[in-house]
Amino acid sequence: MIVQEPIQVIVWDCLNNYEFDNAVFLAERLHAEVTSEETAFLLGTCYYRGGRVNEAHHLLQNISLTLPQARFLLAKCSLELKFYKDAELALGTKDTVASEFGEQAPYALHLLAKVYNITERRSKAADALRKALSLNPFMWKSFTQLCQMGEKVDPNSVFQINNTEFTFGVSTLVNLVSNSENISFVNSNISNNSNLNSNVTPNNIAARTPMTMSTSITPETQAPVKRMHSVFSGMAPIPFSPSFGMLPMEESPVLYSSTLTDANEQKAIPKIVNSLRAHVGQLKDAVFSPGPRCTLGPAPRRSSRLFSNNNSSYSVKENNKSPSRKFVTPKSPSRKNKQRTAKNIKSNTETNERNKSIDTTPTITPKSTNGVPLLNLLRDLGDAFKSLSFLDCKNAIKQFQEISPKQLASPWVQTMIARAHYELAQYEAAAKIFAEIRKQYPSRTEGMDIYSTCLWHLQREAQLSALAQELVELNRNDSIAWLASGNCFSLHKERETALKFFKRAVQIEPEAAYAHALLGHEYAVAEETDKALSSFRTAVSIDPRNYVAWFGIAAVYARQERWKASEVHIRRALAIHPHSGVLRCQLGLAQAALGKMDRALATLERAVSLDAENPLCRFHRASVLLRAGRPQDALGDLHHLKNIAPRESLVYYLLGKVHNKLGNSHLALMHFSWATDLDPKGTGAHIKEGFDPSKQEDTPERSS
Amino acid sequence: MASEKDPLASERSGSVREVGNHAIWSLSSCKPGFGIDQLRDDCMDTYWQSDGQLPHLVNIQFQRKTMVSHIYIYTDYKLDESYTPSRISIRAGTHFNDLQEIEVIELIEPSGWEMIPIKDIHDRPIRTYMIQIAVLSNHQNGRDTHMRQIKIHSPCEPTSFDINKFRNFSTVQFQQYATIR
Repeated sequence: MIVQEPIQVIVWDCLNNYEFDNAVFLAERLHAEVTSEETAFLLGTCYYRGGRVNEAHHLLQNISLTLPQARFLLAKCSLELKFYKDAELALGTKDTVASEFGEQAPYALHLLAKVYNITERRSKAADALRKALSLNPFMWKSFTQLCQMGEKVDPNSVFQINNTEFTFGVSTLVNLVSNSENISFVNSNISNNSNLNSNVTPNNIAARTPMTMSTSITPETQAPVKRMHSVFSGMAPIPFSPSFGMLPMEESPVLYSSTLTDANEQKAIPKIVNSLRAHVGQLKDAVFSPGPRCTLGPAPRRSSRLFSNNNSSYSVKENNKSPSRKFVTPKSPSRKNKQRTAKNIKSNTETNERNKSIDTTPTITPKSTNGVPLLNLLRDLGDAFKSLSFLDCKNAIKQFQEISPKQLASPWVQTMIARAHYELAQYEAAAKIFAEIRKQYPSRTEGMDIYSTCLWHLQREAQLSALAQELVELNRNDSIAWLASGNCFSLHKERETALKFFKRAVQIEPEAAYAHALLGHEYAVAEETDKALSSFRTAVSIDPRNYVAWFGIAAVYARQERWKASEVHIRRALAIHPHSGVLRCQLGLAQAALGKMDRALATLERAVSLDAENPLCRFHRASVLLRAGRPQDALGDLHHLKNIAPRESLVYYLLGKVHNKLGNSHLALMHFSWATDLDPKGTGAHIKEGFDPSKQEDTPERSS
Repeated sequence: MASEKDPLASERSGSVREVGNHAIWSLSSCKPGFGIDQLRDDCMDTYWQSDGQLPHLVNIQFQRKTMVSHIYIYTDYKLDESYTPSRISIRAGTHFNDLQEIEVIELIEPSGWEMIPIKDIHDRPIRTYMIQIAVLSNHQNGRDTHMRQIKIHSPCEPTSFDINKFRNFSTVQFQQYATIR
């Protein structure tokens, strides 16, 4: 009979060193020899990590799957290939997922929520996401997804480890140890433990018996102080980073500075052992079965073992192929441990023996100490992100500013702040922050589409074209690069090219609602209204909270003078983004056009008070006042505008019309001539064409 | 009467739009591989070569009545010699049997873009369903003709200036709030 496990271990080793082709080859050989679900899962994983999603999907689809891990992988492949039905079949329903997938349940729920979202079952998606969050409070992505869907989530209640449903994945605990320590550890472990599974040939797997991480929870989230052996380090050794996730244990500094010679220190170890005890139970099969949960059989429920002080947890009833692992030796972060191997073994031996004797010591449950600082951070960020998602931008900026300075300087937080400025139409501020981010992280493209839009609004041609060029050079397959290029050419008014680039962006990433919205705007400017409307509708069907698309539809209808429809859509946009001055102005204009002057004036009044920096609110208020037959009142606004923007020709044009209405024809003429001076081709041309102020008092709205 | 001008510059100014993509193009004849695509591909190296009797026709049919202000034709005597058109007639109307000649231009060894302004009797851009560009004769009495590129421009904004449609402010300070993207 073929011994599978060593080969599996070898394959995992390749995977952990990112040699995917090698891993695929070996896994294929194994699968050819032994066609079982386990080997298929291994091969599928190799394919998936090597980017060969199609093959992974094909492989997993043709066999009946019982392993939850295999089902999860199949679902993931199906989702990427857009086979939503297969994905849903593989995952099950959101009620069964929790029980069937055990530890993987949060991720499976998240995936299931994605499927529900795409197939427009948004309430079910929201449920699934909430469940995922309750199972694993570190699922930040689920939280952001809920916020983006407009669901009310309370960060305070979500980011807590206080519910018993919380399962801590085995793999998440093991990022902390360097490889060489593995070697030493494993050797010693093997020699010490008698209930070693005879399947394993210890020597072969002496070198790092990796276990893939199904998650990549940062080291800070759990017992950071303990340097656990990387029998579980599916990941490449991560140097321990004592950041905010520090376990508040007194000996921690001691431990860090401890060298291997200190490993024999008595005092630190029991505590560490105890706190590890809780985790140990899950690690039972980790050493020799490389898959995260490659147990053939129902995945054991970890949560109960995690939080119960059950020290017999390692002897779990299920397929327990591996020896119980008691090990926790504080390791210094240094990687040059090979030469200390000998010492290591000795210390480990002693540790293990000591461990065996401390069976009854109560465990420090991780939930009370680990991860709490991270959760606090997530809570703060969650509050701020929630404010931003609900477009309460001023609050969001304030909340982001209150984050600790180290996190504040990170590009993600800065991008969020810049986005908040953008939503408030404070393009200058946003552009400045984005420029900083670009300088420090030139290869980061997240949020750069917003940056390009800010530059578009500010009409900074040189910067925008530089940005577009850099992004395209960086990665031609990134839709953000093409959105920036499209914006650049749109600013240059080369519509065809801009459309081409926007279409390219949409082609690369058809699920990006913003790309569709930008394409729609470009169509609208190019006066292809049908295509514009269809693009906007696509954007809205992907993301109903995309107010840019709603505004776009309203603008198209306004252009066609279908004011009723325009008003409806603008209200929709306003419902999403109530603090926006631009949207409110547009609403006021629509109401004025429908003849509801009072409502229009009230709306514009509100706009002016909400958005102090936006001169257009006053401008439109003045124009509506004029239309409503109150030219005198318009004068106040217009004089204010004249002061803050002395070079805007339309202000003078409107002043001219007001004076005309008031009968001050000489003042009117003066203002008209000023307007013409300031902008001979635009306003001036219109004035020349259609208006003779001396002849009539009517506003010259004839088409010439 | 025609003059050298770059159509792209006008497009960039925002006052005109290229509307050839909104139309259906057809030719009276062409050599395989030298047809409509080469005429509309924005590349001056590729060209349309006709393959029949004079006059050679380029028919441009719009789905709606479109305002046309300029037609740009790119030809190059240095490259095409006897294939370069020398006399071009522009006709407009609603369909093939309803075309009226609105413009005739003479080209003398042209090299580059030729701009043909299209105006009706009131000096306004015309509104039409169909435009036909007819090559009546070539240089050196050539039979077939080469045309490298054709562009059709339509004015962007209708000239009415409604107070509600304030979309083009003259300063960035105002313009940046005019729309949401």
